[in-house]
Amino acid sequence: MLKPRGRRQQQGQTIVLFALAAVVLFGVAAIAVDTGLAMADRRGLQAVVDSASLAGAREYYTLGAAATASNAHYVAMLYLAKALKGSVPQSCTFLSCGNALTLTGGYTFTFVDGPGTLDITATHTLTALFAPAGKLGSNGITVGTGARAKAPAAVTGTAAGYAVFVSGGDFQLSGGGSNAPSGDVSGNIYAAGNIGNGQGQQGHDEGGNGHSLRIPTQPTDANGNVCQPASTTHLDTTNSSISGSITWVRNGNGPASGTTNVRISPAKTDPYAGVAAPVPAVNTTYTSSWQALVANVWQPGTYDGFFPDRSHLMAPGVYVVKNVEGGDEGSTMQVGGNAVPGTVGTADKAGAVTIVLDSSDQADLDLSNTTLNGLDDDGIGVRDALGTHNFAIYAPTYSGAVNVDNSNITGIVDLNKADLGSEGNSSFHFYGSVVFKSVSISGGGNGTQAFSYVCSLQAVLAPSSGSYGLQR
Amino acid sequence: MSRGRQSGVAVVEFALMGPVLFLLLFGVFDLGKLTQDYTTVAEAARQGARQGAANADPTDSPFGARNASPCPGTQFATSATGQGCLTDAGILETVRRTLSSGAMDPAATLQSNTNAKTCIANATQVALAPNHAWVCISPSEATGTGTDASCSAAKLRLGRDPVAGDLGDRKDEWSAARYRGCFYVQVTVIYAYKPMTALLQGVIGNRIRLVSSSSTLAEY
Repeated sequence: MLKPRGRRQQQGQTIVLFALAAVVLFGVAAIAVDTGLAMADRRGLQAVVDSASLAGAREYYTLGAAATASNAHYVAMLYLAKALKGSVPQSCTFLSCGNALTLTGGYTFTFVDGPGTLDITATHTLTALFAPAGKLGSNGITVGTGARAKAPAAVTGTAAGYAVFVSGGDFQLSGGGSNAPSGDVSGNIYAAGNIGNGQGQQGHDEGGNGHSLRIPTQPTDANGNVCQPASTTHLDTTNSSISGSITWVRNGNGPASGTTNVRISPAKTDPYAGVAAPVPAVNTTYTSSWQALVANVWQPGTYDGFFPDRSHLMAPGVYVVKNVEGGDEGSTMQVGGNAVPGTVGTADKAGAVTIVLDSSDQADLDLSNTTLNGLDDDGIGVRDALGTHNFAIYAPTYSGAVNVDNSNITGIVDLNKADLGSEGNSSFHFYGSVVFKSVSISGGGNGTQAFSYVCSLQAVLAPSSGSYGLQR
Repeated sequence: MSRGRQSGVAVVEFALMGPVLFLLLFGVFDLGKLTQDYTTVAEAARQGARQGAANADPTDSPFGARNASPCPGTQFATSATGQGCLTDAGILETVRRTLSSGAMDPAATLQSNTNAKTCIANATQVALAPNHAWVCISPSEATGTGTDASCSAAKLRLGRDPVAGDLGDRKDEWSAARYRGCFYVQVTVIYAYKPMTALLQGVIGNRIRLVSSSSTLAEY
């Protein structure tokens, strides 16, 4: 009797010990594993929310003042849904989207907006391995995180408001003719001296399309679309001197006659004088052509003593050219064009090119037969992706001769100390806003010359300061 | 006869095996806690380093409550003592908060301008008290001056991408526009793990270090 009983008493001891130990061991292991899971999950969620908030906030930069909270929310939701293998509800569109998103798998997101800022708060309830086993009365662990991203503020611009700005002489366009829909000059003109077609002086009117200077009564773009808000085209001179005849081409609701649009103006200086010179993003200085060529394409940078000639095309960016000698050596700076073909007259966001010249450049600038586009924005001066500031040519101190025969140049041209002379049989087309010391196109009559305006064109000043990117 | 003697076997066995069993038991117990703490330390280092990218106020952390007034950003940069968000003190505070959220002792000491290697070498048994953390940040915010004209000029001079401290101190790096987006901030967290059980404390003492390091390209 005693023996079996003694045995029985001892038989359960190891079981009890093991049971006690097991509870503790599994409990600790469960906490450790679940904490690790939660931390890992939060880390993944953080990465998703970071990218979504950055992507959403970027709409405030891309769209500028036109951006709405819905735009930002929708883009952020696309990122969240893509990353978490969910889908954005049909009710949510780019134009109309709410402040909350729920995705399968226990994800909820709320969106809060500030000026140019998108703030996302996220929670995720994940299935825990151990904790849910009825003990804690919950079915999972909820992790929370969030991110706030701010878009860079729009850059400010400066606008001349003139298709042609002649700072130190006459604007004379004689003979020749334009095929542009709205006339030889499709925007406002300022000239320190006379404005006119010079027929009186030149007496030269060959060909069927010899004509008086044609100007639309309301500024338009190159396609004849009236710039909004519509305004009356005005010619500003310091002495109200209009020579020859001017034909006002009536468009839109513009006035039929333009005589009242000639205004006496005080003398003006280069409207782009306050704009800093464009600077290459990576400002490498080249002293010989082999340094500056990559895969037979000129690279942006500073060209010392030579220039990106027309034997090759130019990669997008800013080209600072200095110390190019002229004179006896007979060299002219005959530059290449954009390597990325853009559409003439519109912003070339992928391939815009600016040539920066200064007074150290003595050689003549030969742009003949060249297509050059320096506009990397839609003309409203809020973005400056390629750093061109919307200039095709920035050369306010350069005073050499300029040849633009058969060229197509888009963007702002600042040649404040250079004269534009042409004998009228050649063609050229400027799109944007040009600044010259004087403009004289005479004789001939077989060419087509046009100065088309780009509506609301502005030179980019600088991005406003302040932090952007992730903020929390 | 033999059966009668067996009555004490279990006790003897237990006396023999008990210490081993308990050592194992507590060992596993501490191993679990150790794992959990290491996860938290790693998270703390990562959150501290992330502040380089987020440039956020510690009270405005992604996992905490939303703060209505975000960090003013680069405007603080002129101060050598580091007023603002991406400061050593700010990173330290973020690490503390993360440790605290992981149920760990948030006591932490700042070791400025110390990289991961030096940080580990310095964290001896004597120097780093049990249940205490060191937060090592490299580069520091307050000494030295960068002389390179730009980030690309620095790359040319060094023949490689700059790392933290190459361009002078961190304050100089972030306050100079020419250096923006040029360097990494490295945050290392070292935690002296103190075993929960007296038995293991006696055996191990202050020898266990939980170390995690994280780097972020600073953005301004």
